[in-house]
Amino acid sequence: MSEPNMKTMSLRRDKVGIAFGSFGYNLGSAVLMTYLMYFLTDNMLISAASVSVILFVSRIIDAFTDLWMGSMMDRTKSKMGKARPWLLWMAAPAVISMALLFVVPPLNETGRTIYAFITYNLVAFFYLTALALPMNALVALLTSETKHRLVLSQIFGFFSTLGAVFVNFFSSPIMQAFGGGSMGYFYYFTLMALIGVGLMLLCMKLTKERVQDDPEKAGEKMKFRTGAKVVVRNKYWWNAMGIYLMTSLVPSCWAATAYYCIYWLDGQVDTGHLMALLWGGITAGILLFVPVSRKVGKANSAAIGLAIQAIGSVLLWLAPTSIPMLWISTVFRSVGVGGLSGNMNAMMADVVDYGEWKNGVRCEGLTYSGASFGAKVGAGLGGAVVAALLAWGSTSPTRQSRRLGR
Amino acid sequence: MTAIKLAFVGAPFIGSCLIIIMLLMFRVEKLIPAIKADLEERRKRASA
Repeated sequence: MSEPNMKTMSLRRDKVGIAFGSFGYNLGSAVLMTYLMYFLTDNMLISAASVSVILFVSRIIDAFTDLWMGSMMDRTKSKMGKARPWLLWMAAPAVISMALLFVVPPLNETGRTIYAFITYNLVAFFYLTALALPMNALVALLTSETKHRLVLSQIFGFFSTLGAVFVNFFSSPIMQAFGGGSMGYFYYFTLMALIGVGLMLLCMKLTKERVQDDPEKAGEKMKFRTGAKVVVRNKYWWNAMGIYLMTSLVPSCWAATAYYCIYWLDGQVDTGHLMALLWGGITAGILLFVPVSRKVGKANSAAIGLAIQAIGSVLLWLAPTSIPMLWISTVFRSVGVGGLSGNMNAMMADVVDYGEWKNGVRCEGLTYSGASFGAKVGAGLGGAVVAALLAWGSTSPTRQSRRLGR
Repeated sequence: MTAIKLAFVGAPFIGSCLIIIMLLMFRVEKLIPAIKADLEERRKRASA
């Protein structure tokens, strides 16, 4: 086969691999965002105030483990590259920890709270960090060509949200098929983690890391201190970390969806379906914003998307009990977020290049983990804000269960 | 009820506005073609 043909073939394999991997990753993580808080208050019967503390503290711990993980990735030298080996090494622990999180132990409330704290932290590390980071960094490691990176980033965004649509749309019927209640959660999340990890392993098999370090430094293992210095000197890294922080804070507020459907709409709208529309809208948004980002640039296109999301929020604020307005607002909010989701990974790859140009050292791991650090803090803050607001509004898990008829 | 509305609608609205401000500050994209050319040059020099 000629060289250009081989190049086209391997790029196609990268695209398919990224599609499988991103879809698989979100099978476990997106549904967690929707149901974890609800599971903890309703099935584990932990108070909203305790859940608020668990989510916030865990995310902060998780944010720091991200930096460690990024440094480990930058120090990884193997035939498979920097990121791909981690997808293999962390596969089994990720599935086991996810299954453990959805076991309701026969303990008192304090015991259950401690159990939830420990198991959630295991999931946060093995699934949300040790798998997420290599998956995200792959976009920057597969190719250095801007055009291909943007395409890979958009494929990543599209298929990860498609994964979220899938898990959310089928969550209620599949959980019911597994017997509903705690057992439904346990089997559903274990199955989704298993399929998700399988798809990420397929991604590992199909892709190839081609972006090499500076030939002069290729043999060296980078020290954490050196990498950290390089990253904090990169002004756009701070900028990106802030964007990631706020970008995670917004979706983590979607944890309030179940409560909104029950309290404001009296259970007339299914949470899973609403979340599926939300993720479906993001998927459509990513596609709609492809020409926009090519025309006006990644950051500008994302800003336009976020403006549309803000308009959607205003619409719902004005008519909070109107179901048609909820659907319209959901379309606005989700399509708008799509403008950002498709571009984020490619924006980070630009930050990596800028860091290398400015400081002479290339560190994908720490750059992505720094952004992920921001994302974790944002998600922790968002979850805590939602749970704290619910605690302030005295949301009672038992009253909620009765309303749901579960 | 107000708490849920604030969590579901109010917080995402404020978040979106803050992200827009940060995105408007993210100007690295325009520098990338020049940066890439320079990095490529450096790599060639290093491997020569």
